[in-house]
Amino acid sequence: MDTIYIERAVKDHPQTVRIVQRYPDARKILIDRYTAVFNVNTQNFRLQKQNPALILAEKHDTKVLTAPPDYNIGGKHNYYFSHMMNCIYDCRYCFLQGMYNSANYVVFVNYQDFFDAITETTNRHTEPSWYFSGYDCDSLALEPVTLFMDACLNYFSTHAKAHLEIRTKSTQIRSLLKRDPIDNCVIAYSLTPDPIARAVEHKTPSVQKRIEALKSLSEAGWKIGLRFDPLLNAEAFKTTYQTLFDTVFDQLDTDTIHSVSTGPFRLPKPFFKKLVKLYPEEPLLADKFTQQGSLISYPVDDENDQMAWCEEQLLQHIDPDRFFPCV
Amino acid sequence: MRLVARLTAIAVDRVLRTAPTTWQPVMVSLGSVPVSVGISRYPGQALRGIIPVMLPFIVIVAALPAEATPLKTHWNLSPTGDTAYRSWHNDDMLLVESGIGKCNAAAATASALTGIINAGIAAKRIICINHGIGGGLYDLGTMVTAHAINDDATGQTWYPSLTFKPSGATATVVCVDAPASDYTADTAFDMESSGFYSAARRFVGAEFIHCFKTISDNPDHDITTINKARVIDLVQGSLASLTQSIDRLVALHATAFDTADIEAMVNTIKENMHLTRTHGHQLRRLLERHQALHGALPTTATLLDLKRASVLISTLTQQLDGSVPRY
Ligand code: SF4
Repeated sequence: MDTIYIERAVKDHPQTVRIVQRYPDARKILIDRYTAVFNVNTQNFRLQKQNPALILAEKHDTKVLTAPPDYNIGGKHNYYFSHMMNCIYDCRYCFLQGMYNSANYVVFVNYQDFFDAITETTNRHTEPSWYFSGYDCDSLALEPVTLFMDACLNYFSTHAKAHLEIRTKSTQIRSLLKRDPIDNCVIAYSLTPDPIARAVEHKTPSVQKRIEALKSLSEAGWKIGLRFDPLLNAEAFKTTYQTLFDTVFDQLDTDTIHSVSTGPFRLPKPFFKKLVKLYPEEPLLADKFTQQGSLISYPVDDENDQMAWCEEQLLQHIDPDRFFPCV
Repeated sequence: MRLVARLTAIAVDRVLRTAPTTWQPVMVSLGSVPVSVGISRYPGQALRGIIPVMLPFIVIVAALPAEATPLKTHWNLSPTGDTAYRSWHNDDMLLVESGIGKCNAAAATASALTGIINAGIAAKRIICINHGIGGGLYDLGTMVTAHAINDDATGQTWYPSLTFKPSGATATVVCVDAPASDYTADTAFDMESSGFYSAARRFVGAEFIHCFKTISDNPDHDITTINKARVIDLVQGSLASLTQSIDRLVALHATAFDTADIEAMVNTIKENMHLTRTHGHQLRRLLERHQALHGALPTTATLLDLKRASVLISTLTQQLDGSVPRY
């Protein structure tokens, strides 16, 4: 990280001070609001990804948002939150490339405000609420720098009515293994067949490393989740995914798996168009796509076939009550 | 500009590899403005059938004759004959002398960029630079790169995108309306940056607009002692840093995806077949998909054999919709 932008209002915030200390050689630039750097619309996400800057900011507006209707793993009240925008990984299908003008990382340092918002949201319901982290970023990838998840788990460990899903591809699990697992948290890994992951999930840990992380976490007593989302089309789709399922279930004790979900590859049309403009040479984006309402997806029949086939395969390994197709 | 020359050769070679043997590289100049390098499909008729090649084209805006002269000599630039602003050029570069102050800088920048874009140089090819003298708490002759540009009169601030790695120190450049000497740390004063930057960002991508300031006055060298000879000396002394930063910007630019070969093919088809605007867009994307899914473009002859645009589009679509990414 050779440039850190810091909002003046949080320059003395303990998280800011701690993070900045990690980068003694970085240039530090004080700014009023992160939007002055992040939202500039003539930036090129693809070029910026080569050398992203870090922006330390304060989250002012809504900190907890309602999750889309089918986004759940068994809970009735589902929400998501993001302490960070953007990701150190570079998956070619990632919607963040379509959503943001900038590839710089924004970290919101007012962690406590997120926890206060979660308390307030949880108190609105009598049943437990679920909170999905890692919607606008990868939950753990920058954890050694942010320590957000550590703070988050401290919070959730004392708020049993609030349940947390940490979604990640990162193998930065040392801090998780150091602490006692908590019952209201699931660590969920996104998994893609190895050859596809190598081609399109740039800079991510290998699928095998992710499986090993899942294994370590489950052995340490953490609830684990498997997320086959998005399902990506490929020549020999079934063989490719079959190999992935076999590899995963050969190595994990299925009794320790809290939930398994699948999801199709869908993007809002403007995001998809932006991705194509950024990466016209990308095979993944050169496939056959159709428009369903405001979304771009694989043709409906293909998508349904892929979802149904994966469901059939997965249900050979796990009970239906642990399977959640997110459509 | 050895790097630019080398990139020129690479890009021309890349287009010529898939082109008919009669096509030739050409150096093109339209009116007083160079169009850099193109490929002529009609050798001997220099202005007919030129395919522009995606290469960086560098625009430098300097305020004073003493700031422009060393650059003109260094890059061996010739006068363009432009009457509104004195300017010089070679095949890769245009140097404009704006006069003092942000209004002059804005007007000269807008005029230069409009001129070259109208002459056929795509905005995405342009790297736009403001270089000149400034005051600050740095050693005399130090070149600083603006990491923020602050218009002293309006309070507006811009943050140039530091995706490339600047050579040497970076600073907030405060653009003042009259010479100033109340120097503060990490800050340089100048009189053109905000005008230049606000104008350039209307044309050019954020990664490729930068201000470089060579320190001409500091607490030990009073602003009133600046004279023409000293300015020439200082600018000459900062040429190594300036060239290094430009080389790094050119290297970053070279990583942008270049669609010159696809453009060339679309142009050839257009000359031999009636294509509507929509057909043109569709064909461009189909060729991108072809390259992504099959690793190469189809041959021009195969496409021309299809005779009609609608047949061409439907045949290519059908063919590509039957192709699936291979991983
Ligand atoms: S890991 Fe997730 S957030 Fe990060 S780039 Fe990949 S898809 Fe996007």
